[in-house]
Amino acid sequence: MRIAHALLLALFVLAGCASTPPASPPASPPAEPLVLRLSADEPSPQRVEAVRGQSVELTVTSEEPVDVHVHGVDVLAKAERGKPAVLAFTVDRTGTFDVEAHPDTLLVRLVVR
Amino acid sequence: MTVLAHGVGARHDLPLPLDLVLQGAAVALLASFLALGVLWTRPRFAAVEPGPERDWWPVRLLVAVGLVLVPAQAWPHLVFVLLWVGVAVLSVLLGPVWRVLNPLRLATRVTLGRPYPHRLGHWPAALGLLAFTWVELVSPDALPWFLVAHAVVNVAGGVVYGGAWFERADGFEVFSTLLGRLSPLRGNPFRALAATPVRPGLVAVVAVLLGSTAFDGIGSSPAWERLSVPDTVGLSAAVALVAGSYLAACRSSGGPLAHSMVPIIAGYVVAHYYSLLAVEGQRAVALLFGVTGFAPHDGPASPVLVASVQVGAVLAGHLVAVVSAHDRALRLLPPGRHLTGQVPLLLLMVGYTAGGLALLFAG
Repeated sequence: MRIAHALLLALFVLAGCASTPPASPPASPPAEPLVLRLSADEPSPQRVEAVRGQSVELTVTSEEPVDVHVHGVDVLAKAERGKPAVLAFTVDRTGTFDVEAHPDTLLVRLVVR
Repeated sequence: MTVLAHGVGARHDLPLPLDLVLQGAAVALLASFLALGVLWTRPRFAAVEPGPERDWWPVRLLVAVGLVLVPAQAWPHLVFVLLWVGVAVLSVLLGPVWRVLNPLRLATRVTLGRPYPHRLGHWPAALGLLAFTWVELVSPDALPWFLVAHAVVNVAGGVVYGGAWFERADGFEVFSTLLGRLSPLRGNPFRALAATPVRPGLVAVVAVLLGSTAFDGIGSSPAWERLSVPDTVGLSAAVALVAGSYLAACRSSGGPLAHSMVPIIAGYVVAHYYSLLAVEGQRAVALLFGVTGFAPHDGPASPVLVASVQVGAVLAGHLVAVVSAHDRALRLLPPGRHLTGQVPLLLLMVGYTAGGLALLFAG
């Protein structure tokens, strides 16, 4: 029984070590903006990495009139035939942010570290 | 973590770093087989049903009156954050709180007191939970319809069958009571888990809870969106996959071992929804008081904290599950198969845990 306790304790300690990710160094945002061209008609969503503080420029084309928005960033633009939506913004916190054409077509997922 | 993605501007967690996922899976695998080797060889946990909750109807009346005053725009947050996640977390900490709070339980005060049909068991609860998770993950706009249907069905069930209806057939109460067995405040969680009554439909409840949380991770990933398979199909497939793999690993002992999946469910729920509760929970409280422009504080969702909570919850759930399953297996299996007989479920648990971590990485 004592062995079992010691073992469980050891495992929790091990789990504790494993659960502390290395502190990431404060990344300085790169000078170039992240530029993406997306289509709301043929979405092929991917995960794209960005750095906190980096500026992002999205151009979204669509045949139908559609609202494009970035969850968690409060930017919104309209796209329609021949008139793409252009969204320029900076994400100043880490996290995963979905860019969607309304109501719920995922266009790209920004992973900001 | 997409529940509210379509309702409000929610940000998701960062993906779990790959090295953490691999370390976590390795710890789970190692721990499981070490446990098999060194844990006790005779069953230790006598089933002890935790004491009955204090049944005090004025609390429910207070909740019912409070619900009338809830502003319309607060309902999605109230249900998807405070009820679904908040009640689950509170249950793990304190015990089966939904039983105490559920205003629909007032219906039992005017009950006809018919005996609840044993054969129905937890099946209505499994169906109700499947319907709710479908609303949550596939079609959040259907929430008002779900709530009305839920209220009508449960008031009717309560009037006809009394308290037994809520105990067995109300998905939220079954969920809260199962998780409440883990509460360290109400005696030894292992004994409380071992006392879980094996009723028809218990495995279905477990499969819905685990499968839907897993699909929450899969369904929001860009890779899933590229497949363009309907979400309804994905949710059903995830639930069926959990049920099928579990029954294949346990054979005829699926029911008597089902309680050992509860800690894994709790680990998944905490890992997937911790930051939702910590951040959107603030907004939910603000909305309840009619404040709409509230910006929640991001502090409790810092990447290091979230990753630690996620890996910690999944691994802790895995360990408790392995120990509970081990103890029950000693009762169920003939002495000659004590070791080998446990291997299929053990491997499956390692698979669920590694899979849960992988979803937090790939989501």
